[in-house]
Amino acid sequence: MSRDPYELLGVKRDATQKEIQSAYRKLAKKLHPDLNPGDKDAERKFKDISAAYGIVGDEDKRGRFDRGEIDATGAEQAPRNFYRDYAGAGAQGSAYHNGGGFADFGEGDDLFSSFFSRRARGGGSGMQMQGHDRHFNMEVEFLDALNGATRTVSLPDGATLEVKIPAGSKDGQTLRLKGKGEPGLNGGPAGDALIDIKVKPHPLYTRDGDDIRFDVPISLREAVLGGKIRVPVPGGALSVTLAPNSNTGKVLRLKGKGAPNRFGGHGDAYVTLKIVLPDKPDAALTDFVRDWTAGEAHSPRETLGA
Amino acid sequence: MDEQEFYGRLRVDVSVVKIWIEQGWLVPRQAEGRAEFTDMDVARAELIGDLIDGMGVNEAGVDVVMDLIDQIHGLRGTLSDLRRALGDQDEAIQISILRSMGRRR
Repeated sequence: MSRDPYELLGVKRDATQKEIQSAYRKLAKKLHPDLNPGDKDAERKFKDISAAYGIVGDEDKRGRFDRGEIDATGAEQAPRNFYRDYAGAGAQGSAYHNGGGFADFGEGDDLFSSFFSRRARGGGSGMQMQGHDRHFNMEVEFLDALNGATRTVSLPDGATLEVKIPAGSKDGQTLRLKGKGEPGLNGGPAGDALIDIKVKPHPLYTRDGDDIRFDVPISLREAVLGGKIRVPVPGGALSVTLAPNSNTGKVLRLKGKGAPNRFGGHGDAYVTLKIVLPDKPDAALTDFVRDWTAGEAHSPRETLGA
Repeated sequence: MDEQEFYGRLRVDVSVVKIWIEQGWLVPRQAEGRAEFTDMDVARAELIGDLIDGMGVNEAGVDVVMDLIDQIHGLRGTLSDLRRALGDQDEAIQISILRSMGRRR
């Protein structure tokens, strides 16, 4: 330190001892390296003001400095390590570890939650360790994933695990069963069981996020005249009114008839109409269509250039 | 180090340090019924001394400050592990994480 101690502390040369102390305290609170653990400069600045205070904070030394008997380097301090040097090097597992600043990050269900909860408990240092997670694959019927179900998984060690498949589960989703993984080390908590869900295809329905899509066959009569038809949605059938002249490819949206979602609601069902002729040719229908002159002018492939 | 050496390294009265231990601001390790101190405890005791003598913080204030400092180091340690782990990932993953963080701001 070579600068003038009064200047460093920001006080006048005729300041009282009380004013000097108060100026030093203000600066120390701002510059102490342990109150600025990430600021590399804080150590130098703090040492400077401490050295300055070491001279002018002491009435006797201040007098000698003012008379020119000692210079500003007269109060260099012994080298010292600050607490941050140790705490930063791994307070994990030390008696001073405190995960209170992020303990709530461990409450979620995602993969990172267990990392945070482990850290918050002070793990990761060779003390208590959470057990490893175990991974399983499970095939689930389409409707079981949709409506929810309970299934039993056999573990390699012969034990079984009851797995609750939540309603609305999706293909590729991972279920986490807390504490059903490998046992912990040194009394640490067990890991989790992670179950990857594979949803089997359904002959009629397909999933599109929370929505369900499927084709519904309608007769020629229903297509032309419209009217009420019964539509098979998962878990029952619904009456739906068709408008007259409902064509193949027309999509009806059945609001709230899709899969349950995690917000407590439901997706929608999208039904695509498909006109189906009778299996056996019908003479009357054939005669009618042959004599239907307007039908000859109808050219549905016109826009395709054919 | 044992109690004797620990007190010798600090320029603080023994009775004062005993109160700090009672307050839980210092937690020496117990080995065969005797208190064992580390360099970390010395640095921590010096910080407590700075707070009280250097900055005029009172007992309740030291309690709060030490608790918050411990939380900050917990956070810093976790954050630095995360930063290193992110640094181990492919650049595309790092960019995607940065973008996702930007969206949350």
